[in-house]
Amino acid sequence: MTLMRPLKISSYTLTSGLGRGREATLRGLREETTGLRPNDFEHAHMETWIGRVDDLEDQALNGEFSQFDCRNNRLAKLGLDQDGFREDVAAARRKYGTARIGVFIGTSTSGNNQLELAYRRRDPDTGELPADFLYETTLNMYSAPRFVRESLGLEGPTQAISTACSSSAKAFSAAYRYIEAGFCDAAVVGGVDSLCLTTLYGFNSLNLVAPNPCCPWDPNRDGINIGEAAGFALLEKPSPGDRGLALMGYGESSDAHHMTAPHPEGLGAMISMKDALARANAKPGDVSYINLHGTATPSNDALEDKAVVEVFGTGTPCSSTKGWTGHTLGAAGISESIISFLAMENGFMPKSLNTREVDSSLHANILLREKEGPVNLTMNNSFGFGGNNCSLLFGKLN
Amino acid sequence: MNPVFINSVGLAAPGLMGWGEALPVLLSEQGYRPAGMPKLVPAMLPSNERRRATRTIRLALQACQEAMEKSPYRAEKVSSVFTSSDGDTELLDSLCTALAKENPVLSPFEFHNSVHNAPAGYWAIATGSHSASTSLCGFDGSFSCGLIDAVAQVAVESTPVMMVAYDQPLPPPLDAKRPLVAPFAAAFLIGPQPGEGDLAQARLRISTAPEEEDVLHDPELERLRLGNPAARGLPLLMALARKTQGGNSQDGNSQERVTLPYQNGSRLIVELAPC
Repeated sequence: MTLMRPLKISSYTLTSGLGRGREATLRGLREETTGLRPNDFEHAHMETWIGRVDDLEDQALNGEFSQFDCRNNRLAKLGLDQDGFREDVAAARRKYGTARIGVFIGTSTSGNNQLELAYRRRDPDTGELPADFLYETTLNMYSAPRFVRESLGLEGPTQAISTACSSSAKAFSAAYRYIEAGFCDAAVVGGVDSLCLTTLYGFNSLNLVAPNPCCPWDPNRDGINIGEAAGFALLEKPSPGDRGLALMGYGESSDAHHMTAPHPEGLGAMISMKDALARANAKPGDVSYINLHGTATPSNDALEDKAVVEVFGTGTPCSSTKGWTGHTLGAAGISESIISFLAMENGFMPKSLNTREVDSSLHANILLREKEGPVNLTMNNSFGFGGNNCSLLFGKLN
Repeated sequence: MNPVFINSVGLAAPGLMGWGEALPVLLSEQGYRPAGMPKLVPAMLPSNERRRATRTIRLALQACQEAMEKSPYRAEKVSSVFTSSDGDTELLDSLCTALAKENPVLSPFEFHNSVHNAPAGYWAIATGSHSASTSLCGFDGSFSCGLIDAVAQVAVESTPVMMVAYDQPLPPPLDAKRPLVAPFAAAFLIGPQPGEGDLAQARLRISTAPEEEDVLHDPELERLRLGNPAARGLPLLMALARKTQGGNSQDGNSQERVTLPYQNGSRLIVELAPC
């Protein structure tokens, strides 16, 4: 395993059910208020809780961006508008030039909701889709990264990464390789995934949707709550003397086992965690906090527990923060990375919200209460359908 | 950047079923005549997965399987990059048709097969590879996206990578919004060091200068190139075919330069040299 050079995280922002921007997210985490609500998503008739972002229904994209109008890109715009992210990217644009900043965006369903709505308006005689449905700029997976690219005035290498629930974690590793190979000098990475009927009814068909707020690692855990989020970070090569947050390592693997069921021994998860440590030349004991994938399905939590205990033992503090945001699918990697950034910058480790007690068959050190203290190195796990795993290691430059 | 080594190729398209069958067309010795596609059987998959594999999954795996079989690399050590503009739109159509009804019931298999990385998941199961795998989309630039991503991984991580680009025509009513002319999949096994049987070494460069992308003289082949995002890689396949004949480019140079469409305002330049 070759060591990697850290990449500086110069700016970041998150919008989810928990709130718009860093301050709202931090407040929700510290005050332990959930971003979940009883399901009220249009046309979704099922008993569950969701992490919906308010008011997207009324925020149509207009002007030069009207062709991109769909729930996913509305959410992307709302995300880009927070925390001065556009200004930070503008400064990077002046420094590197527009063609030297890449765009790497994870999404699992892009503008699917737009297509679902269009299918309700098919011509009753011909079956044709309505004329106002725009395939390329709303439904196609590339719609999200292209919208981000054009919104931010960037012209560097741009791509959608769509590996289900690990998508936006893998935006970090892709950006690292592009920068290291010389295809760009800096990168906007992130993820946007929005609520749609395909995922709500799809996960429901697999009996994976919880009727109540999700409770990772709890003996009574019974599935996921689906959320939506847009999160972005600006990555650059550090200059001498730079301080602040950085990507220190990444690990990627495949389970090679089953499309939806995780590897029974957690093999893929172990490989991705070990590779992330190895790229940073870090030892398991160096890690202060692990933000788990922690979907709260019985089998996912059990396998992740096995893999975490195998790599880290039972001492490292861990939590799943899906009780705050829900499972934001393709945006989970960036959302939970940003929660780790807030933890590092503010010296606390969030608990596993909604987890009342830890399943006695599981042994990772799950935080049932928020823990104060320095957080220097964090690991972030994201695992997706198709057995696609990604672990990220974040730390501080010094 | 150091060069990378293109070791083997796999192909699946009407009238271009496999590198051997395609060579006379790629070498311009024979005009391209689109034929029907045979039913593809992903022989490497265990029977359960084989049964559940959709047409899109079979298309991508067909090309991967051929490239893998022709290469000395061990499948379980090879990372993968899957790239597709449109993914599995037959499933998308089926799911959205069901979701337009009140109280919809979805098939769990259709749902999990509909993720963009489903073919990659099946490929990992087929090869038993625990290596890294990614699935990308760049709309009409998807081929170049996949190639750049794969080459960056080969160069930076010093690991062999299977890159496969695949797309197939959409069913109605989606075809009216996105007309593709024929299925097409091309896989490339790319290594960090010279390997036995390499076809060519390659260097990649992204150009923002106003350069024209390569076009094909055979009108049927050009129609295929423009009618499927994965087939945008045809000029590269043709250049590689010439390299296998020990031949030079049409202007007699042993270096060959291919210009592929990438994204708005930029193109991908692939410089090929003999091994």
